[in-house]
Amino acid sequence: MSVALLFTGLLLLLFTGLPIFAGLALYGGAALLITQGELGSVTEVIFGEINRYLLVAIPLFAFMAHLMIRGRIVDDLYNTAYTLTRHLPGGLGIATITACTIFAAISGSSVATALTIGAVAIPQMLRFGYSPREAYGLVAAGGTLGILIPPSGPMVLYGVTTDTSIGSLFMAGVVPGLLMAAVFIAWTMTSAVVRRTHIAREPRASLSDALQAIRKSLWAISLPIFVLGGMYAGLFTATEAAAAGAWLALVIGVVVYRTIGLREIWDSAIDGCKVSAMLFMILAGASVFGHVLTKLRIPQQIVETIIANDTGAIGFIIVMMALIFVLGMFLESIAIILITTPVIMPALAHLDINPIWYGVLLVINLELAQITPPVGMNLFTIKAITRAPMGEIVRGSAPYVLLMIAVMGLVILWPQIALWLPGTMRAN
Amino acid sequence: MQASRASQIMPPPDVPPPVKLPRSLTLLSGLVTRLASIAMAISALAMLLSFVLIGWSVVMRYLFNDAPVWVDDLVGIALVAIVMLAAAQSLRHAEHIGVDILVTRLAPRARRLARIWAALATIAISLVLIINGWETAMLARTLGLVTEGALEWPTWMLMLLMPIGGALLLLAAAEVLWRALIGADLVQTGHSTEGLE
Repeated sequence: MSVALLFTGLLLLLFTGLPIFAGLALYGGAALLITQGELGSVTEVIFGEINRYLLVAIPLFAFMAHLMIRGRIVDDLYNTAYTLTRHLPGGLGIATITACTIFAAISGSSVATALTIGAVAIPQMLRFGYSPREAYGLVAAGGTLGILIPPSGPMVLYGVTTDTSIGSLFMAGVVPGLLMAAVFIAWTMTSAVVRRTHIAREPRASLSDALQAIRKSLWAISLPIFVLGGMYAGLFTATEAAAAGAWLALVIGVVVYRTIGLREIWDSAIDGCKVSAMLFMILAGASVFGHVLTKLRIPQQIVETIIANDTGAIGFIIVMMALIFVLGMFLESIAIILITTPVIMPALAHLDINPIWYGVLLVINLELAQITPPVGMNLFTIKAITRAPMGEIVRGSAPYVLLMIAVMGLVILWPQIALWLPGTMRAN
Repeated sequence: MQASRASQIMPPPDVPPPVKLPRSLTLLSGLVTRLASIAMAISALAMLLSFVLIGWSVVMRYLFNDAPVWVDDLVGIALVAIVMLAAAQSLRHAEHIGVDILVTRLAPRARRLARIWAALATIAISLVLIINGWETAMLARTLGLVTEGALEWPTWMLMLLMPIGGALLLLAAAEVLWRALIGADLVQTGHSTEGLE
């Protein structure tokens, strides 16, 4: 009861519109004053929470992605994907998902993926006779792959919060991410075959056209292979992979494309700083709130409740996923990770739930959060690109919500979908 | 992991008619702009330093089998500097994430009250960062604490990043509050951005 009250109070406070970092810190600070009569060394707690080498991976991956975007290295991705898939039923839709998948492996951001690919793909799909609803839904859903396919900011944060290997988490996202992309493609093809026969299919690209298209995007595709391959082979930690990836992006931009100068480097660094400020200020607020949770023994209370109710691992996972799905309609990903994860860590340990498996399920759920109204960042993104009515975008995304829930169900039933690849890592 | 285009992707807010700023607010705004820009530039330099140092560390490990052990510690501290020095600029540019689903549906007067409330809450947190951060730094100085790991730097000097960041945040929040009080909307209060999404 006290746990429910505590979290309800926090949610109500956050709904007053203040920055989440301020809400978490204010609420946690007030709770400290009430329960202990003093704040103690909260700034020391905050300092310790941010001062972590592993977290530097997040701004460095952002830096890398911005270098790729500002250097226009990713500009040809969509055209390459379209050249290779245009002869297939639903070829444009497949190209959109394929481009989203590759861009996801570069940017690590769902919004950036939807924004970048959507700006090119949506007008193209509308021109070729796709219904607006279909085009919006496809890009909104394809964009969500950004946080499941590594690199993934939420996974770094989850890994640091739970002391789980970020490299293993990244690898655990690969197969579910590709599975999700495959399911989206299958849905697009089926829709094209069953209902959209009026959409004209283009002739298959000649071998030379296909090779030329691949050549144009070769550098963009090489970057995620370098970053993820280096981590898989145990050559880099996540932070090192981010820095190495940024160095490669810089070299490609300066030497190959000649589109990156000092201005682009500086602006990309500023972008990385903005990401850090937004994100880690929330981490600072969450550390104060988490400090209170520990003092009040809230995680232990939750474990006791689980023992009393005998929910079992699957029952617990399903309850948590339902709860996070509801939270995801209103809160953004980082707040959800930082508010829920520290509280349930002891419960995961008690129920012998693999934290990597749980992390992947959590991220799939956070993907859902981006296309479920009323607060869904990818819905906003598509609206900003197209100025379409929100209802149209939401309806277009609805089938993908069901598909994503289905994939989440598969990963719950067969954890090896997520756990197989990290189990084969050389670092293990 | 990319969050800079938040203002482009959010639904456009209702923009009130422009309000003429009093001279004192213009002066404050100019001061905050300069300080926040300088702090952001230092933050970006810390970011680039981390980028260079980690790359160098990898090269040293693989080519010379001699990875500098202090890089990890320094990069962690640099991250604290990046965050604390960039937070004020992010506040002024309305880039801190907030749950605005209810606030955007409020009448203009109530929305203004919500902006004032958000600014006041940020001021309260800034004061905690300044006062508690300063006290903690001075205590560390008195005790002669040094950082763990290879660097062994005086903790109090690094802890000063908290009150410095708090002071910058306080100035930015004061400007935001002032603008909210007179109905000016040139600097927005914290609202949703994409964060890691």
